[in-house]
Amino acid sequence: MAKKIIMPKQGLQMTEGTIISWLVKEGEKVEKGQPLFEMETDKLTITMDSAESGTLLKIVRGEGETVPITETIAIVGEPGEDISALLSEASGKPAAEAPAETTAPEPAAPEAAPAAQAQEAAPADGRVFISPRAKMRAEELGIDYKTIRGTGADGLIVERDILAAKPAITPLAKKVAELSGVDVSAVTGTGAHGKIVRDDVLAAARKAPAADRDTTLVPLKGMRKVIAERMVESLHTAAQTSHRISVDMTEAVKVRDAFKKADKKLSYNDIVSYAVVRALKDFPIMNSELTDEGIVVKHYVNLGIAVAVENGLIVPVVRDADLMSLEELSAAVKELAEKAKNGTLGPDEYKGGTFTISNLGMFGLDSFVAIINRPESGILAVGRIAKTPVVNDNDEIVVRPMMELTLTYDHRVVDGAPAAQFLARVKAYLEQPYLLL
Amino acid sequence: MSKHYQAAVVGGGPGGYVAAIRLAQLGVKTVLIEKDKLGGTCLNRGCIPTKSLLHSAEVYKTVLEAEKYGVTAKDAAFDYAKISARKDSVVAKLRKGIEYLEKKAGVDVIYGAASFVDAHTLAVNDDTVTADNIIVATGTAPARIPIPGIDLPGVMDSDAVLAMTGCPKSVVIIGGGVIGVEFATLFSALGVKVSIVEMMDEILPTPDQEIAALMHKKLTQGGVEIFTGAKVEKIEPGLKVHFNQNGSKSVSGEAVVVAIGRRPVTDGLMLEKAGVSMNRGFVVVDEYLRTSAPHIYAIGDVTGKVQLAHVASAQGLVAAHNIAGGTKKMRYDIIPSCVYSEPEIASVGLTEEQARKTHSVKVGRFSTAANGRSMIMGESAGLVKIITEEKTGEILGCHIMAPRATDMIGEVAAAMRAEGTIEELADTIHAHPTVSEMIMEAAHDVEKLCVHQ
Repeated sequence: MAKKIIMPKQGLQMTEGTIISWLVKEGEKVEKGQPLFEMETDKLTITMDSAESGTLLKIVRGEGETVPITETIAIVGEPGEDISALLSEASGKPAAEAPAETTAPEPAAPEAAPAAQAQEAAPADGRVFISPRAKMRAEELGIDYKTIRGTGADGLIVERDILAAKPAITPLAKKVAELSGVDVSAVTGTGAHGKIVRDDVLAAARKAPAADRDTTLVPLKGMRKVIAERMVESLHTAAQTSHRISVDMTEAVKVRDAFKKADKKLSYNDIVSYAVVRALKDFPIMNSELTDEGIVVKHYVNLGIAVAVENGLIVPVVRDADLMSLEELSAAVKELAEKAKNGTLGPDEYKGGTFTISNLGMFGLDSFVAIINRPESGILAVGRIAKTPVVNDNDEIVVRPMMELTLTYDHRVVDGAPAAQFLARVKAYLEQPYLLL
Repeated sequence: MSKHYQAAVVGGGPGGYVAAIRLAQLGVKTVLIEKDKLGGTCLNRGCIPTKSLLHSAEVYKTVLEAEKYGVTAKDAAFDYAKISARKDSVVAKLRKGIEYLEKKAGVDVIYGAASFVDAHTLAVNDDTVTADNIIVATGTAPARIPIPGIDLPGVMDSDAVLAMTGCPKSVVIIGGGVIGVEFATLFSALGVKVSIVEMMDEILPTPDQEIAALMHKKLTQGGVEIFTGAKVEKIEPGLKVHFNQNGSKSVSGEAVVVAIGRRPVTDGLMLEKAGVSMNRGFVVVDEYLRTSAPHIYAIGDVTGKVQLAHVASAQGLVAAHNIAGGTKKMRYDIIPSCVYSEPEIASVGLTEEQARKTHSVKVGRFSTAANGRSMIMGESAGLVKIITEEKTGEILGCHIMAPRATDMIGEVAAAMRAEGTIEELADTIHAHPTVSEMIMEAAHDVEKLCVHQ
């Protein structure tokens, strides 16, 4: 008559046990009282003797399995007995499935084991033998015990191995690590006996990129997408090159001061814009557009002023700028710039430009090169006004408010010489503003 | 006949004598040069004699108050000469101990004033000593204020007070720092009329200000007259101390004690011959305690860092370690400091005021009045306060005014050094009944979970 071997209850609080190894193979004889298997609970590791005599017909639950108490783990009987009924009873599982549970790796030869409490040697299949107490402690401390070398019998990982593996860390360092998100397993301790102290964690926190030093994804859409497309289109289409010139702004400063005294607010950018409009009238080729039919030269100036807005850039256009006085131009630019910043520009207020000015002087730039705002043929990049030592006509070094202008132009439309002449004209207007009268 | 050593230590105080022993322990052939007596200021003119006198005063006071404890003691009296003699015998015993320790460690001790001949050579007693490394540990002496009357008979510095064999009937103490408050405690316990004249707005300017104010109150209750914000102008014969405290005032005493700080002692040492940089008389050192001459180290008061015997000893150990090939840095962040007042005051780390400037803090406190052991000992004044960093629970500082405070501060210093947080301190089971329970209760109070208040 075949008998079930069940997971025994060892102690009041035991609810389940883990089979560490079978000491008898399927098909081998076993005597009552002979060591049959080793198991562990959360409190102890123990070798269990067989409660029955006979042949170990079936190992129902393999090594490493955790089984609730009283469930069938093996069947002992006489060879050839029908054990299907007992098998199907085991854990309420159909008999057919049960064998699958037993395909656990063959235990290493247990012949030498019966008398000994010795553990099986750690099998080469990656499974780890660890005492229940050590396992509990490892989980408590959050230690990955799979990488730890056991020092117990036959390599069993015991509690002391876990405690030794635990990186010694001061309570304060631990808290600082938690707060700063530092993984202490990668930190080398400099305290007594290699203990991790606060300064070690702080040093690691400075080196290790914290979560907020990761990358974030900004979707390429809306204004960003338009800018991206237009910039690359411009660089791919136009034959862009640039000229740079220094302008002595002494007289322009005087103009602004004169306006200021008359309680009229005027920016340097207004004066530059006005000079550019006038120079465009003098050199209409800079105010043109290359089309399939040819170069369309425009005899009106719609002046674009690049305005930085949140997360982008927009170029409102002052229509018919060439018909405006300096004060009218100033007022128009001011109004459009405000609208641009508030996002209230109408569609025809940022279209149809013929030439663009971009001023980054307020960011302290001396000079920079802009990309043409297509289909225009030129863009003027304006730097800051900086007090600079210059050599005057009398060979004296004097301090002058100097400003750098950089003209980017489309060489398909304009050649270097006329572009230079245009830029020189802008300079002349700014250095001798009365020419603008 | 010049003798060569691997290390020479100049000055046998708590910095120098400790450094010399440690050097010898580390296998460095060492000579210790002392111009007076081993033990330095601490043992001969500072910590030890003061505490011996204070203990005698405490015994006297306890006998006077014996009735309070149900004990009858008639005709309580003291003989100051005997008190002083006992102090001298304690000092002598301890000094013998140091002499023995130096001998046992194999340190050669030379008595005489050293002066640099060059960077590796010291002249002592018409002879020279050469050394690979030298530690300067010459300490400090009481500072003097340049005011009229400072040289009058009866105007004493701390050295002179400790050498007294009789007790004056009244004392004016100029300076309400640690030394001033300890002398005030001593004399007022002996029934002497004591006045303190302090320039700052409060006595004890370094400890936590809340505790300083409590001590001010306690001293005043004990009959000590305290003038703060008072600048001393002159001392007239008859020992009348004139000072300005919102107008001219004066206070008189049989003796005047000047306790206004200490000045570095480097006279005759000729440090300039060794290329050692100085700053306002103090020897400049780096965190390894090296001077501007890399083979010369300096430790103790003469470095102008923290003028405490135990800091000098700690510096001595660091310097010795570095001379023996180590690279230890001196840390000054966790240093206990004590006032042997009644009750005692002990502190470590930041004061609440300092901590609030740089951290967001949580403070736990517990009153001496609520502590059973303190009540048994007859003390109700004082408190323990612990200052912690809000998020990490780091112990930033602890300030104790309670009986045995000086013996208890070590617990908190150790917890801080081991980087324990307030949680560990709160979870540490403290023996009952002890004064040290106050520390645990204050730790609980950081989370407002104090059971006994």
